[in-house]
Amino acid sequence: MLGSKESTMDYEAKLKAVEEKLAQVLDPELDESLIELRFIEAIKIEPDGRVRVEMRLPTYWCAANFAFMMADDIRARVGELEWVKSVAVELKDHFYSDRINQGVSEGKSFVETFPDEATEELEALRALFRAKGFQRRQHKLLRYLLERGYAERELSLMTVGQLRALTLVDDEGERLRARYLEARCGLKDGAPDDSFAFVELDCRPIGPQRFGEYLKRVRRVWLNTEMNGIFCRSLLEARYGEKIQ
Amino acid sequence: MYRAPNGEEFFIIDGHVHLWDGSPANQRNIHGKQFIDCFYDYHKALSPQEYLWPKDKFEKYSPETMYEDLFVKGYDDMAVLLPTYLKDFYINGFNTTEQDAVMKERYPDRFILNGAFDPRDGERGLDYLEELVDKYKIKGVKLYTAEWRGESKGWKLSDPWAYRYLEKCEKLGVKNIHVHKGPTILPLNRDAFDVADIDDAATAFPNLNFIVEHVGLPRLDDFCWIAVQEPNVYGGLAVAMPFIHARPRYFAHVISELLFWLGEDRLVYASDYAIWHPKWIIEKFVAFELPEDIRKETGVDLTMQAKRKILGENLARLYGIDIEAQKAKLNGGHAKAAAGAR
Repeated sequence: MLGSKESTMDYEAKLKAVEEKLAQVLDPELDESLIELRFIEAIKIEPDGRVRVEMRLPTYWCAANFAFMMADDIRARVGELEWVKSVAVELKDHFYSDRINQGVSEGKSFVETFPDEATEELEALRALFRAKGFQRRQHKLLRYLLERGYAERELSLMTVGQLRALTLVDDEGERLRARYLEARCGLKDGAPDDSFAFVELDCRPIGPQRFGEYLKRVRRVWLNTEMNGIFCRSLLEARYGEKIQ
Repeated sequence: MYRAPNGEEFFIIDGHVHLWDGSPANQRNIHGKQFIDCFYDYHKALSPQEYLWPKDKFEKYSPETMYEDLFVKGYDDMAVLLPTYLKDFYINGFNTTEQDAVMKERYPDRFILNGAFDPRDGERGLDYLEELVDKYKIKGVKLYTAEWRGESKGWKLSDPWAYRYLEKCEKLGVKNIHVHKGPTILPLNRDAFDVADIDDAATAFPNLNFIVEHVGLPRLDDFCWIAVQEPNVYGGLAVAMPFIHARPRYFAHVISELLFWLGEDRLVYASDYAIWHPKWIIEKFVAFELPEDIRKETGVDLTMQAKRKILGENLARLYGIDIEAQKAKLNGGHAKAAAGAR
């Protein structure tokens, strides 16, 4: 091949940049990235800046609204890269593949893509699952800390500053803390470090009295998300097993 | 009847079985192919290796195979036949009441035959429901709210027409409403698996029992929440149960959560045959013990009594089955068959 080394590297760098963007796109139900979930089948980049992302899901029947959200988020995130001229998303083997692919690639909204089936955009649904995602991250971190000997009362009174300063022995702990703090309200606006670390979605304090009850409530959300994650991974493997190998 | 290694006996009613035809010859379109393919992926994803079927057997199996698997190789004493029509996907339907009736006719003491309704059928459907009751004496229906019908991609239990059907069920003595939440209900911008309409219907019809198939998965959290408040809501364990093999620790979490929120009187065992085989599920379930840490966390236990209720007694109560009388009847059947063979 006559292609210079420089342009090859250029392609690699572009690919890496696209992958980094895709790592930020989450399955809203599972609160995990499409890369981790192996939903991204292929990435194709043309020299003129056109990008094509091929995506697959665990079943043909996965809910169309979530499928649209993911496809639309791919378009939005990848489109943020300066050199990208256009983003085409190809969702495969899904009952609404054609409509979603066309809608997203043309930059249409959800309602524009499904004028007869949708009565409003997806913001309410997004917010509902963002809340569940937050509770799941919170519960995962709390479980981790409880398993390592922290007491419920201690956790209920812990401040953001104290949580940040905790020495966590492994990568898992670091990751759980980072993911939780990323979703916790108010921190981006510089919430003071002496506010409670574990609060409700809208920053309301939980308090030591209610903490046990609160834990039980969010445990359901955590467990449901974990189950769905396991199920989706198993189904994806059953569906595309040969192709993955 | 299952006899555990320690000698304990369990009378078993399987809450969710099918006799389907998903074969290519019956597929109306690509959706029919994708539907059975998806079932097959469920089968492959959670079954132990030695229970995997070849695809063509999975697409269509005989009544004899089904009888053998459930009652001879498996330990089911009785099973509830739940139809799933899907006439938009399959020429003769995927699994209609009429198809299931073949099993009921051949093995009347073994099966509880259920019907189905779809409120989009309007007045005509109300008549059909009455016919099903006259002809088959059904005491339950299976509802699949995500079933496609031309342009419509689903319906809700809180729809006015659904209420008319539920009123009719109450009048006809069809007490057990099995609900399966599927992924394509409208409007499309809402959560397709939302279980709020079950909450609504369960409040409006306190004399009916609502058995939510797959314990509301993928919305187990919301299901637990509504079930706490509605005493006539039950959890069908199909899909949750096979996790006992592939992910036993998560199964322990799920069953504990259900015992915590619903209690042992409102959970029913189901294999979802032919997706999963009852034999391994029952063996593993009876042998299963909750890990100490999970027991401590939730404060509940999966006792032998809880297992006995989940495996048979709860469904016996819902369907008015006298277990001792039924045992005698089934044993009589065996004795007769044995005598005939001699």
